[in-house]
Amino acid sequence: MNDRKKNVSPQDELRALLNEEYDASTVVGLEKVFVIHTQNVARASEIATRNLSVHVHEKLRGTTLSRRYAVYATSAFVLSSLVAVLVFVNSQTQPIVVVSQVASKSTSTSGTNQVLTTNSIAEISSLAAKYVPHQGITVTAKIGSRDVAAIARDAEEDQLISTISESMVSTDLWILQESDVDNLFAEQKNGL
Amino acid sequence: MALILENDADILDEYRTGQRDRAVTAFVRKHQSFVYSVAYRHLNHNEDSQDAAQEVFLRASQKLGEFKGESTLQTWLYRITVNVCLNMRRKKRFLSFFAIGEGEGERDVAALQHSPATHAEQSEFDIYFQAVLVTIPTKQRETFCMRYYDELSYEEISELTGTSEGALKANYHWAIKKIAAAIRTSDYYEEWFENERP
Repeated sequence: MNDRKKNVSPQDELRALLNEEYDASTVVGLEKVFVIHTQNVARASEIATRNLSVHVHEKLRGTTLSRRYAVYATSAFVLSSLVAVLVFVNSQTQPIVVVSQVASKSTSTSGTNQVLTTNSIAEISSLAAKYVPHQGITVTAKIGSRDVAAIARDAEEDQLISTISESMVSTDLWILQESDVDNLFAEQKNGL
Repeated sequence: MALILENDADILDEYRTGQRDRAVTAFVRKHQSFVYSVAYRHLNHNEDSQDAAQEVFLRASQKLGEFKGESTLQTWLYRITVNVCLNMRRKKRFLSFFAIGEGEGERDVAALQHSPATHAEQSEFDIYFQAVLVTIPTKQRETFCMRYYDELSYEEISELTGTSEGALKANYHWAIKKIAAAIRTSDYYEEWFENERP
């Protein structure tokens, strides 16, 4: 029943409806009017859509081509940008300054083999002028850059020992030890 | 391989197996009248409807491979057509805002009654019939057109419009009664009927 209802054509449905309202001859006339009009509409649609598939194909080809060109253009742009960036980076690159720790062995005569390090490279000429050993002899000899920091530190250490020794000369009971020097260094470092 | 692609399944198979040009040609030829008719009902303008139909097939052809088959190709095309027509109308409305002396409503009526293309392709009676269609409510008109011209089932129309089948049947019946009454009382009918009578 349902299938039969589904298969009722729009034309059959139209006829049934017209039969409810009009006599048989009027129904036939109206039905013809509807059929003719439908045929005219179909003909007009056919005329209007003539060559539509050709136009669609042309448009599709145009779209495909423009998409392809868009991909090429984008790739070319990206590549040229990359090359430009690389060229710019290369032109701007300078030697990189690496400040490395200078490590050297102590040349101190105090007998310690402590390795001294410094984070900066001192100016050789200024160190030579400042370096005044506790014996009062000004050293003007050429100093290798490798030992500059160690020499400076030793000189400082010697000067400190002599200062302490002089100030404590009246105190017979006190003897300066290596550990005392280390402690004093530590205190000096802490700003005392 | 089918020589003539008559049904949607064959068209889709052909498209998916790589014979795209052939499949698109068959696809357009099979559904072009339907798409144009739907577009014409929404736009009431021959050239605009042709442009809309072209745009619909362009979009549909590009997405044909992605069609999942959850509905028929016809209902899928109907949705695309309605969307394209709505976009075109929006664009027209936006442009008409800047145009002097031509509103959308004026253009619709003009297209129905005075378009040279319409005059060339349609008889006076067809123009009168179109004018009668315009006088009935939109839902009834659309239901009538989809059911009578496009020969869609109530189930398909319901799926497309979201209206219940019962309401669609009522719309179709009211539309036919109004159109028949208008034609029955027109001079065209009398003249035509008199000529046909033996």
